[in-house]
Amino acid sequence: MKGIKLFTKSNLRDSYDSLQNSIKQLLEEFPSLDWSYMNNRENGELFIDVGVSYNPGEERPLVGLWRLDSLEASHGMAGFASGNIHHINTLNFYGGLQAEMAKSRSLQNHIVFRSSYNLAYEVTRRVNNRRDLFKEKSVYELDPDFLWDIDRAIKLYENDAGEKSFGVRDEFRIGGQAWDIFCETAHESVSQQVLQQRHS
Amino acid sequence: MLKSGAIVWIPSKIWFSFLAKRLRVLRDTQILLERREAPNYGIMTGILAYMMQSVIFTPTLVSPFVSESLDLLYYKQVVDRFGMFFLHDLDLTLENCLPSVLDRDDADVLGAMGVKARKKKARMPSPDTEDEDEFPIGKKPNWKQVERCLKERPWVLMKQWRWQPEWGDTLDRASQLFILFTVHMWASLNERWHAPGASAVHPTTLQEALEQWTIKGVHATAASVNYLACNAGLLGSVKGQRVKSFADRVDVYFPPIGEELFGVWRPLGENPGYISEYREEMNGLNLVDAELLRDGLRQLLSHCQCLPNGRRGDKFGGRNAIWEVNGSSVAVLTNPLFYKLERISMQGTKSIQKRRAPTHTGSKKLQQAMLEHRGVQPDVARKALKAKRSMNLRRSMKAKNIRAPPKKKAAVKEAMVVASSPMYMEEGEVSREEVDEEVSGEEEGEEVSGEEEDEEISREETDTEFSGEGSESERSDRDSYGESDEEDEG
Repeated sequence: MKGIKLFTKSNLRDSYDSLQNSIKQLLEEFPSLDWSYMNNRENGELFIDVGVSYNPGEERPLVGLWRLDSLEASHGMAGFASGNIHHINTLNFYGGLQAEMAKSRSLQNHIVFRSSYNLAYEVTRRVNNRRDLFKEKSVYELDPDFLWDIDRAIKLYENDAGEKSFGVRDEFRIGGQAWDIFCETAHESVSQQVLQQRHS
Repeated sequence: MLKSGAIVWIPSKIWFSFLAKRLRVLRDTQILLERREAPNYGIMTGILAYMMQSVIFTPTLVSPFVSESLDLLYYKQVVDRFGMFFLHDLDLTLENCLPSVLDRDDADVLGAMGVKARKKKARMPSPDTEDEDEFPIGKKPNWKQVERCLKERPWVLMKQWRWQPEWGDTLDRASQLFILFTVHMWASLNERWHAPGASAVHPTTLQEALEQWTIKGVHATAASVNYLACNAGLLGSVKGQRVKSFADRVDVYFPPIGEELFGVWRPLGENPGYISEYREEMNGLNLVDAELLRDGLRQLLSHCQCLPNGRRGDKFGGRNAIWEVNGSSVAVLTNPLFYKLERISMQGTKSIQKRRAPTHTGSKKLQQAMLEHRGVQPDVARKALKAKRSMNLRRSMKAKNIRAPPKKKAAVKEAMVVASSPMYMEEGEVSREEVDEEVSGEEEGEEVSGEEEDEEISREETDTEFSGEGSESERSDRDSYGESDEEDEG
């Protein structure tokens, strides 16, 4: 389902149950969803996209960028396919990584796909997620659309974006059966370590 | 994973202003290259577009020629070594600004850019190579040719601008006002339309100020220019309204004292705008000196090759604009005094369209054709038709002059006419009261039927309202409208 992210947000730092709470929220917001039916494998496989966002807890606005070597190591350890690397702004070490899980493994660990990306992209994200800015033809002709687009991007970066914080996100597409286990372990493996890292 | 310090945190201001700077520089470089008409402009566009896209997302479909160029620039190695891609060798002062890549666009590149659609702009020649051809597009070009030439290669049609020493004798005060006018005019053009890298316009001498209004000066200062033809004072057949000559435009740029200023012109009329200076100056002068000053300004304006196509509205409305932008370029008027031509001709323009033949055959001819088709001889048919037409002619004058009595109309309408013109009351037999009665009777009848309709509608509305809730009243309704609701239940 597209665009339900905001309804199912929960803060991992609050409590162990927060991930479970997010499902509760989802079901409250969309009463027509029948969770037990959806989770019954006889009716098909349920996929859940779980995004773990890491946001800076500081007052001053910060932007988080994934380090690609860490991401690659992590994806490699977890047995993901090589996937697509996205270098942000031609930077060698920073960007995002999207990859599918190898088939044989995904049958066992119920993880299908993982996408790690930087939320800073949302500043200039198009509503339809299309990536057709600055096409060669329009740049070549310096057509008004191009000039307008680039002016707007520059203005966005210069004015509003600098006042806001943008974290990073690690998004997993998991099978419904893995959900409970994910909930149990995520809290431990994510929040504590991040907190430690940030204060060290 | 997180223990490895997988996330780098950068203050938002630093990160985003870095992105903004990169985009801005890439854009300005692109615009500079476009103006320069470099032979490998397509290749450079590919590289710069790739870098611009990279700021915002990962470019997905990279044209083959772009990846080739990036290879030539050692993209991977540069990124490996410096952590990011830079064009270290880019030097915009060189003819070939990026030596590592191909110095000329090939057909593939031009194809990818859709160059066919884009007319290549001719390059502006350097002054010494100017073609001294007396009439480059002929002595008597037509207006279309003039317009086209000005649009594509204005420097071909326009005489070269040369500073004449005697211009230096212009009234000092007029020169100063003109310099101020030049500065303020250019300042009023939005930064967006200034050429990237162009310095602000600050002429100190009259010559510098006038040079700012030459094709060269305008070309160097404005981002992209569209030169408009001006028909003032041209000999020959010029279509449309004659516009003011450059000298006569003095009243547009230097409005007389009484005129109120609106819109973009208003700030110029307030201190320290040039118009306010001009008016102050005029206030202190006697009639003769004032006329001299105005004349000096007229002269200076007529020495300009180009001027912005400004216009002023008044309190009754009208557009207020100093500059005009057409599409993506600034439109400027060109001075017809500089055109290399004798007169404008009509040659080659479309001749005035002739009226086409009527669609249908005339009624006489049609009648005759129909008769002939019946087997009537042509001359017999003609005579018969003539006789038929002359029937009216044969009637006497008295018969022709008689007025046909008006046809009898419906009783009510007749009565209303009579009632509304009391002069004829005596003759008319229907009184006003009777008319009123008749009319109101009709209205009442209509109203009644209208109410009935309303009732019907409201009944339907309530019906639909209830059907969703399933209350008792619905059930009673269903009983009364049994037929349709049975279908629902089924």
